[in-house]
Parts: sequence; structure tokens; C-alpha cells
Amino acid sequence: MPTVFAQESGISYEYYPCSECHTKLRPSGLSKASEFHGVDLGVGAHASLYCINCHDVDSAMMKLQGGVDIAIPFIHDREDLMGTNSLCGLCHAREYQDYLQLVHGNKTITCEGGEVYKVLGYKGVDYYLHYCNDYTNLETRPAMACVECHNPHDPAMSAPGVLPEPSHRPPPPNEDPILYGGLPVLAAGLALVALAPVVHRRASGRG
Amino acid sequence: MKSEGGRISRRSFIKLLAAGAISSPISFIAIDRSELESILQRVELEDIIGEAEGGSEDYYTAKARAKEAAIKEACRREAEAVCSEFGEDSEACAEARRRCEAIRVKATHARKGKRYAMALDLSKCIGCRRCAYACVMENNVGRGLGIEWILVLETSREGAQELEDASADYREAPKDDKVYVPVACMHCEDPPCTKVCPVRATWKEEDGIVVIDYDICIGCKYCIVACPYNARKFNLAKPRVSVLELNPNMHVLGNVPRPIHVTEKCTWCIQRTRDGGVPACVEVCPVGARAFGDLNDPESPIRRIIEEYGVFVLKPEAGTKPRFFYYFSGSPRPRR
Repeated sequence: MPTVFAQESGISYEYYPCSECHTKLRPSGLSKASEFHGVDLGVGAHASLYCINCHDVDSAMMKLQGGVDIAIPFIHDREDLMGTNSLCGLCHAREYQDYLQLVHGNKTITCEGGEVYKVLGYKGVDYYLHYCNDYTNLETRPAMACVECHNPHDPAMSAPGVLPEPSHRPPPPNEDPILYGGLPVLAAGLALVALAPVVHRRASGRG
Repeated sequence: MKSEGGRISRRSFIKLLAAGAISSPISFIAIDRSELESILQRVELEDIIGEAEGGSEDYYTAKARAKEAAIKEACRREAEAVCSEFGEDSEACAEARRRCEAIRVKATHARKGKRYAMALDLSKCIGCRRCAYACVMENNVGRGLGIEWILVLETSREGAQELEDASADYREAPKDDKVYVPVACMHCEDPPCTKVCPVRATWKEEDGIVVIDYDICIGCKYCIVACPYNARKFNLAKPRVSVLELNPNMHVLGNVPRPIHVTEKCTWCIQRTRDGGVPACVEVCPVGARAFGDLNDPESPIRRIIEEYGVFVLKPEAGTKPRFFYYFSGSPRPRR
């Protein structure tokens, strides 16, 4: 029997056997909010749903529709969480097909002897580098289950913060402009132009 | 030397012969063959036949091996500096040494029948620039050079969307009236950059990735001018990456550390994709806006996007036929 984290219940139970309450209370599932679990379906993108749309009333709400086991992020492992994806796919068929074909959602790579390690990277932003034995047989697969990104009780995500803007290129190295002699050459050229008629007259006079 | 009416005497003939033997190269070979063999390299018949059959390793595999040895050597030197600074039994020292040994430089060739493409969902992109930062880390781009291979542009949602009016220097995102367009190398079907290269240092591979051989590039920047997407960047200084930030997974035509004064650009993370992975930008995107796949595979993400949503490209009038597609899925974009 899975255990559940009762969010913001005001009651000091954190991990609690579900069956303790559920078998006694037999919830009908026709409500939209549960104060004990910290769920309020009155707000958010799933505001049109009731508990019973996803949870199974026959198992006293301890399973999901279609007999899928409940899995909770940070408590259950990823394989269990992946099991709940098909339930999301019942309504979101297009996104589910996108997810299966690696269009929707995060993707990651796995490899033999694979692990990731965090480095403090470019401009102080964290980055996870992959460590593999030889990097030749990588495999691409979905990185996360649906419920790891989207809280099923409030599925709309909020955008993460924006990273600093790109730094502009440093100015090119300070090189002296090429002057081709500069002022002396200019003066010599002007003198040549001014003296050209004189020189020409002398030359032709002699001839 | 002539005497007695034009006839050559025996004495002078021998003299002539001796002078000729000293000056003529042919006689030199005949005289001192052993010394000559120490200068010239002998070509063996087995080598000629082996190269003709393609039996020995090719140019890029050999180059990758040489570069791996050189990079490991430089890395070990830097690791020793780290060790002497922090102490032999410190954690940084052990980590630096471990990462030096993990460096692999590959020369994986294009897989037969693959034709890669990438797609980006403009409905989802929130302009957070995580792709640009991941790209810098994954591809060992030199720090402090102001080079980022991916540039995220912010354009207006209304009116004519001219890329010339776009801004890359926004500080708040996402805004409701803006669209964010990340731009990098489009890996065009008809790339103008490869045509202008005077030394043929850049070309399009069989699987659609446009690559640069950094050792051939002479840094003339013709390709930078030819590219309509501003995708190519130039190293004005020697790119430097700390050993603790170096990505050990390298490809000889991709993210291997570059020399100074060469052009570099996005290679769709050739070190990952040729071996079955996805590029770093696709992996890091927090909203899953990017997808990467093989155009020839009917089950690939790219085929799904083209068939389900329809795609467009930037600057179609340039006639370069980009293989980087943009599309609008219509999904709501996450808000702040």
C-alpha cells in the first residue's frame, strides 16, 4: 500500500497509510477539493475536473482510473511514475503521442556506465556533464514522467527565470592604424603636384 | 683537357670520370646507399596495398587519436597545477585527474541513411537562454570571447516580424506580446558558407551536418559573410576552457578545442548525435520546445512534427533550404 504525503493539512501526519482513512471514509470522489491533501481543483488548468475523473472510486480512491497505481514524485521512483503517463494520455492524446515520439517534454541521453556530474559552468550557471565509458552507444529517451513536470492537480507550469544576456564581443586588439607614412608623404605629394609645371617647363626648355 | 688533335687522353678521361662520379646524383646512390636510406623513408609494398584497400585507419581517425593525446597531455599539465595548488590528496586534484583520463576524441563517421533535422516550437519557447548556455558548456567554447553559438532573439508578436528589428539583450522573459526565436546554424541543404571557402575547410556531411575542419581553416571569414543567419563565429583569441569545465566527450570535427583565428559554429552536437544522442540544447530545454531526429525515419520526432503541425524556416527567400524548422504547436506558453 503506497503512502501519501498529506500536503499542508494542518494535521501533523506526513506519511500515513492511505487505507487507514480511505477504507473508513469511502470518499465519493464527487468533490473538487480536499483540504487534507492540499488539493483544490477549483483553480488551475484542471478546474473542470472532479477527483473521480482520474481517481478510481472502487478502490476507495487509492488507485487511478484503469487500475493504475498512484505514484508521487520524490517518493516513488521514475519507473512507477512512468506508469501514470497513460492516464494523462486518455485526455491529452496528441501530447501523449508527441511525448512517446520525443517531441513533447524533456529528453535525455543514457549510456553504458553513465552518470552525470554537475559543474559550475559558463557565467556561473550550473551544467550537468555526462560521463560515459566510451560515448559511442548513446540512447535517447524521455527524461521525466508527465507528473514530474506537471503537477496533476495544477498542471500549468510557471516559466523558470531568464539567464543573463549574451556578452558582447570584446573590442578587437588595439592596433595602430596603418598610415602609409602619414603627413610626410602627403606633403611630398602636394609639393610634387605644385612643382610639376616648373620641372616640365625646364625640361622642355632645355630640349 | 683535350690534347693531340681533339682526342681525349686516357689520363684526362679518368679525371673526367672521377669528377662526374662526385657530382652526379646517380653515382652518389650507387656509392653510398646505406647513408641515403637513413635520410629517405622507404615505402613498403604492404602499406601501398593496405591504403588502396582502405585497410588502415583513415585521416580523421588518426587525427582524433593525435588530438586526444595532445589534449590529455595539456589537461594533465593543468591538473598538476591544480594539485600543487590545492594539495595532492584534495578533492579537486582527484577530480581533475579523473576528468583528464575521461577525455575521448572521436571521429565517428556519418551513419548510412541518416538525414538529421531539428525543430523548435515557438509557442513554447520562453526565451530563457538555457540552450545557449548549455551549448557553450557542451562544445567547449572559449570563455570570455563573447562567442555563443545560439542567439535567442526577441521579436514582436504583432506586425511585421523583421529579424533586423529583433533584440537579443532583453532581461525579462517571457512577455506576452513577444516571440522568442533561438537562432543557430541551420545546416542548410544548400549552404552558401561552404561554397565560398577558398580552402574547402567546411562542407556538408552525408547525414546533413555542416562541419568545419579547424586545421584547414585559414580564418579568412568569407563564410561568416556568406551565412544569412549569422551562425558562424570567429575566434579572436585562443579559446581557453578550464580543465574542471571541459566536456570529455569530443569529436574531431565538432567540440574539440579550437586553435586561434578559426571559424566555429553549431554542429548539432556531432559528438552526441552521431552516436545516437540528442544535442545538449534539446536535452536542457526546460519547456521541451526543441526536438531532434532523422528525416528518413517515419517514427522520428521530426517527421511527427512535420506531419502533425507543419513547419516553416527562417529567410526562405535566401534559398538555402534550412534543415532547422520552426513551428507553432499552439500549446500555452508557461507564464511567469
